[in-house]
Formats: sequence, structure tokens, C-alpha cells
Amino acid sequence: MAENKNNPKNEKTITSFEEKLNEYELEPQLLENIKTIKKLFANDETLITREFSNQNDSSIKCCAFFIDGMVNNEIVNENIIGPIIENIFLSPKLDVIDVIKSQVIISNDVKKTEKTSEIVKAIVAGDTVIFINGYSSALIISTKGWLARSIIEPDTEKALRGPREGFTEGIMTNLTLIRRRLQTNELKFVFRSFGTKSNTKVCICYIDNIIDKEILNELNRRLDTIDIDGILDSNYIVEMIKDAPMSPFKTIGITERPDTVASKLLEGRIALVVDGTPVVLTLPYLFIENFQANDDYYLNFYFASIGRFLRLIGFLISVSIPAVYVALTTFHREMIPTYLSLSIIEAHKNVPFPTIVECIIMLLVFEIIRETGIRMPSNIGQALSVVGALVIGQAAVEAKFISAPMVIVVSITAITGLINPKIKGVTVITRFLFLIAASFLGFYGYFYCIIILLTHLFSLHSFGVVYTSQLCAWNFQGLKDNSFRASWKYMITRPEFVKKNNIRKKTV
Amino acid sequence: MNNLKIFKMIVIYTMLLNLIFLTGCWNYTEMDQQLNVAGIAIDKGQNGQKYHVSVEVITTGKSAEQPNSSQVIEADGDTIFNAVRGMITVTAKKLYFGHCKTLVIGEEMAKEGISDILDFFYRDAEARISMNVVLTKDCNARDILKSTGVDNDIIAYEIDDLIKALEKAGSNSFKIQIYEIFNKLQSQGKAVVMPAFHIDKVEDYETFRTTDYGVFKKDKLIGYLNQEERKLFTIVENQLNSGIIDLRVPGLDNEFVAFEIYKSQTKFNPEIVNGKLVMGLNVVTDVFIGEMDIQSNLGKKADRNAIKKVLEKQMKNSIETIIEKCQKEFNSDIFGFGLHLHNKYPKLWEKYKDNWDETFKDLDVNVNYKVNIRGTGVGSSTVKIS
Repeated sequence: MAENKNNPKNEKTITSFEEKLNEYELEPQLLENIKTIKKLFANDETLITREFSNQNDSSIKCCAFFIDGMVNNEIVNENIIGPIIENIFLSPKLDVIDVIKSQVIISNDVKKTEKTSEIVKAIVAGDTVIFINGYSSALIISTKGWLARSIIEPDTEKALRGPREGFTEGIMTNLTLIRRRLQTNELKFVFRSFGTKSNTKVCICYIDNIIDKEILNELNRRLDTIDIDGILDSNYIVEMIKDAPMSPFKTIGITERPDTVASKLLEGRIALVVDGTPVVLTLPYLFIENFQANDDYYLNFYFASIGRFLRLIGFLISVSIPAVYVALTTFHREMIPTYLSLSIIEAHKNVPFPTIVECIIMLLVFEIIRETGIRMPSNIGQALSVVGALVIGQAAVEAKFISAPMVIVVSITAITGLINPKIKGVTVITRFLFLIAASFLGFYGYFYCIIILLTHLFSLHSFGVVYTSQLCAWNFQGLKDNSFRASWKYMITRPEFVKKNNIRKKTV
Repeated sequence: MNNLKIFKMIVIYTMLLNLIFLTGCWNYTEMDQQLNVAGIAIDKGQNGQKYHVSVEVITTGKSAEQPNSSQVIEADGDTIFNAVRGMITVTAKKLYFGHCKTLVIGEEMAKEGISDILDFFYRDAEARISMNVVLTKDCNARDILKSTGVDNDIIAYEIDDLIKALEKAGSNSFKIQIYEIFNKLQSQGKAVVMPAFHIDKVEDYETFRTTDYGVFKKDKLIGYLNQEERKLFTIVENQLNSGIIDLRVPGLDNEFVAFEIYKSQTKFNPEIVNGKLVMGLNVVTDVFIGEMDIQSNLGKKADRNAIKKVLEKQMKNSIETIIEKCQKEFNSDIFGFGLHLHNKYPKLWEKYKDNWDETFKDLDVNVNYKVNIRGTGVGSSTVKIS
């Protein structure tokens, strides 16, 4: 409600900001224009003002504006400034600005404009603007060129087999990577930009004949509500457009791999490529996608199915094991096999803390180590592992701070927690909730939490698609890419939410 | 207005949350705050008290060199519950019965009746109703717990292992658990039978051994079946899965044939003949010949049949003898004839129900024993000495 109220107001402020720029009207005198631009960019010393004139006729005076470092110097020198200076047929009798635009400048993208707002936008985006004496309009020439990271395999999504390319920070490079995989005119790229200060370009990609138009409309409707000054990563957009914003579950997928994006597009999903970040969003995003890895589709399907199954079980174990252990040892002692219970009793003798405190301490310590591992410089990683393994693993047990079974429980929890990096955050939160409930109510509390979790999961939607749709509805084709992966030969249809055109094959 | 609504919501949610927290960890206990009981033995009390309760508690071992061990703690009391609670003065920890696997009942106690004892175990939430119940013969129940195990340091668990192993080997096993006793005592028509243990010497230490079965009438012990009778009982009870039957060759003093039982099935067939109740008993046993002292060509059908006939006759006689013993000596329906009558002719059972003991005493039992020789082992003839 609050968003709707604010929105029209904000749009007004944006337009008024542009209008404010347009109040600075361009004059025919070059010097006036230079003054105007310099005023707009006052105190910005990266702005380069290059005044020059034609060799033949020095009355043809020009001035180029561009920002140092944002432009490709070679293009500016050889394709813009050079041709204008060296030209021999330019004369004031001609319509100089049009001649320069069509016959002098060697560039694939030249635009004539009179609006100050467009000129400012072009300069900050890395384009070059040329003013010519005697004209109250300017030429915008595309000269974008800055240093970018090379295309390397993303660290977060390594694959055993399959393509090794990963997205980079440049939006055009990323779009190229997608286009190279899907060479069809049905692949659409629609640009929008967000952020009143950052002006971040966002590209909506989809395959026109496959997607459900309602999902696209819903996406556009939600994008319209975005109101923020800057977007530095795709997560800014995720949090503003996702369903159930308070839920820890992801309803929009993220990936750094172009092959993953291509496959999602083929499944009838929409991708959002955000400029300045290698993380691309895909939507709608279903629960089962948390457990699908790109490796699954490149390896033998038997082997891939085992991996998928392990990931599902891993999630369950990681969420449940501490809670089940605490419930068993403090409430339901009779359910532990006799000799195992004797070992646990012996291990827990003389340990000062109750089981639940022990468990919370150990889990917190693990989370701290994990967080440290991410934040600290990588060259002191060895110190961490030595301290972690020695202090927590061995010394704590020997000193009777912690019982040995608890170390086993926490390490199983930790290992299985890392098996699904996509759902890591949820795992940590639910694990602690389950644990606390189990420590109060035993198995009753544990199952109570499971019911709450399932109720929540089944109530979630992602852009109108039921979050667990591949899991709960009886849909034979959907089952083929679920807890196991069928051979490509038999995966005939697209996911259920693609209502039209959901046959993958041409022949069927 | 809006504030009031929010306030109400906060109050409601706080109250709901308190529902969880105010449960106050009911039943929360650390495992090492309690002492695990492995087994419990009940004898007749001393000093005028009703029970003498002995409890085997487990001391957990620290390492492989120091394995788990056990101690027996004893107390007297007029109720078992009181006696067990009183043990906290010795143990310093509350006793925990969730892993108690064996209940040993002393012979004298059993003769007076076991229903009072079982009530505690049936009522208590911790103790399992799937606990094994065993008797003692010629010794006190506590002596069994105080004896030395052959393999396991915890006696009650060794008894449990022994009963399970016997059941698997199947030759003469019969295990009974608390709930089964309850069912039998409540249903009539089938008497309780329990394995009985006695103290035996192995090399230089005392351990326990089971050979006999205690036979109950209602909830009172009235006698024992010996090892041979015990085997026959398990055959009739359909509990026999494997085992050996020795056959003394008629006319020869020291010659035997050993049959390995492969499968045995008993069918009870109560019927009315000439207005009189007759219990038909059809036993079919499949055997292999495992050992043979006499010369015989088993390849021939006639020879096989001859042996078969002898075995059938011997088994029939033995079973008739043991049934008669139960009828005349114990007057206790351990085979469950009443139960089978109840299952087959529920209306007829109503007629006999009230004085089943009298009917059982003079019941005609018609035993049919059939043996199928399924195999003769690897060799077909016996070693000949020329």
C-alpha cells in the first residue's frame, strides 16, 4: 500500500530532475555551451574538455566532452577528433553538423540531440559529446570502453563437466554469452534502467514463443514499483520484487553461468541481467531448483540422480540432525539403541553443560568459523583450519568441554549444510528453530516445526507459480527432473507452469 | 483504534508463544543424570516385607579396555515402586527403566502369583511391556543377576541375547514378554509358560542356564517341563523352526537316528463327535536325516518309510504323554486348546468357558503326526565296515 502511495510522487521527482537539466538550453555559441556543461560538471575533474578546429577552415570550431577512463581513447582520437581536424571539404556554407554526423565521424552509433539531459546521460555513460560552433544541438557518439574482467569460470558454481564460461560485470558481454547459446530471433532482450543516481541498466531476456506472458506482465508490473537511488547488485532487485519478502526462501534464482541461464530460458523462464554484476536472476524459481546443479545435466543421469538425491537428503539431515539428537537424548532416551545410549552417557559424563547448550555453542562456533572463512584474507586460511580442527575437534573433547557425540553431530550438520550452497541461509535459520523447539518439546516440537515449515513452503508462490509445484502435484513429466533426473531422451515437456508450447521437441 | 488492534495482536501472540515456553521442558533429563537399569529381579521379601527387589544397573565403560560393567543393588519394599525409589539412597541417581530388558521372577514369588508384580511394569511409562520375563528354578532371582556371564558383563542383556539366539536357532525356544502374559491372563483358554533359569557351574565360575519351562495355572507357578518336554511343547506350539529330533532305533540299545527339522506345522482342529468335544491335533514335520547309526538304504522308498513310521509313532506317543501330563498333573491348558476352540466356535466356547479346567482335564485329544523325509543329506548310505 505504501509503495503505491509513494510511487506517482517519485515519478514526478524523476521527471522534474530531467526537466531541471533541460532548463539549461543549448545556445548556438560554442562558448556558452561549454560553460553550461562545465557548470553541470563542476568539481568533476575527470571530465575532459577538448576544444579543436578544422585545419582547413579554422572557423569550424568544435568541442568534445568525455570522461577520462570511461571512453576508448583510440576511437575518440582516430574516429572523431582526427577526421574532423583533417577534413578538407568542410566549410561554413554547408550544414556542418549534419555533414560531420553523416560524412566525417567514423562510428557505428551517432545521434543528434538538443536536450541537455540526454547529453549529460551520454557523458556519464562513457559516450563522447561534440558541440559545434553555431549549432544549438550536439552529437553523441558511442565511445564506451573501459577495462573489464575476463570471462572465467565462477568460483561459486564450479562444474565437473560442461562449459567453463561465467558472466562478468559488463551487461553487453553477458548478453553476448547468452545469445551465443541461443541463436534465434525469438530470444528477446528488453532494456530498462533503475536507480535515480546509478542509472543501472537491466535487461529482461526471454524466448518469446515459450514464456507465459502473464509472468512477464507480472514482472514488469513489479519492476515498475522499484524506487531506489542505486542498484549495485541484482539482490537489490530481488528483494524489491520477490514474493513473500519476509520469507527466507528464495523465490528468484541466481546464477553466474550463461549455460544455466540458457537452459532456464529454454524451460520458459525469464532472466534478468543487471549491469555491473555477474549474478543473473532467473524466475519463476521453484523449490526443487535449490537442489538442481548444472552438473546434473552434463553427467550420466544415473550418477546425476544419486547426486540430486544426496542433496535432498543432505538438506533434511542438516536441518534435522541437531534437533533430533537433542530430542532423543533429553526426551526420548528409550528410542536410542541400548549400547549407543551407553556410549553417549559415558561421553556426556562430567561435561558441564546441558546437551542443548552444548549443541547451540558448537553450532555457533561452526557458524563463526564459516563466516570467518568467507571474510578473512585467503592467505591466513591455514591458521583458521588448524585452530578450528584442533581446538574444537580435539581439545574441547579432551578437556570435557564438549562431548564427543556432539562433535560428530555438529560436523555432520556442517558438512551436509554445505552440500546445498543455494539454500544455505534457510538451512541455518531452520536448523536453529528446530533445535530450540526440540529442546523444549522433544519430538513433539520437532514435528511441530516441520509442519510449520511445510505449511510455509506450500503457501509460497513465485510469480504466480506454486513454489512446490514440481514436488506435490502428480505430474509425470515433472517427476522426470525432480528428486532424480531422467535421461534427456525422455524429458519431453517443459515445466508445468509453461502453459502453451511446452513440448521441447520439434517433431512432437 | 489501530493501536488497540496491534496491542491485542501482540498480547495474543505473546500468549501463544508462552504456550510453548511454559511447557517448561517437561520430562527433560540429561542422559547421564539417570542410571540405566539392565534387568530387575524380584524375590519374596525379607523382614516381613512383600518384595525383595534386585536391580542390575550399568556402569558405563570408559574405553575398550574398560568395558561396560554392572552392579546389583537390592532393596525391600511392600511395593516394587517403593523399593525401586528407595534405591536412590544408594545410587545417587534416579533409575531409568527404558533400557531394562529382562525381568527375573523368583520361584517362590511365582508360586504365590505374578499378577501383582506385572502391574507395576504394565503401569509404568518407562518400563517396556516388551521386556522378557523369565523364571528361576532352585534359586533366587537375585542369584541369576549376580552370576557371571559367559560373553557379556551385563547379565540381563546376556539373558536377552540368549533368548534371542535360542529363538533364532529355534530348537527349544519360547520367549514371553510382559504384554503376552497380560493377554494370556486376561483371555483364558491359554496358560502362561515361561523359560526357567538355574545356576550352573562353568569351569570355576557360576553362570546361568535354561533347560526347563515353568508352567502356570492362572498366575501361579505349578510345575516345570523338562528339556525333552520343552521341545515337544515348542513343536505343538508351532514355534519350532529348526532343531534336532533323536530317534532311538527300536530293538537296538545304542543306535540312533538324528533328524533335522526343516519345517513343522501344527493344526488344531476342535470338533464335536457324538456330542463330545474332541481336540484334533495334526502335526506335519519335514525333516532331513542328519546322522544315522544303522545300516539302511535310504534310496529305497520302503526303507525310508520304515524309518518314517517309527518316528511318527514315537512322536505321537511323546506328544500324547505330555498332553496327559498337562491335563492330569498340572490341569493347565498350555497348548491353548481353549483358545483354538474360542477362535473356531465362539458360541460353543461360551458354553465351556466357565468350567474349562474341568473340561480340559478329561478332553479327548486325537493326535495325528505326519513326517515327510525331504532329504538324506549328501550321502545316501551309511559307512560300511567290511
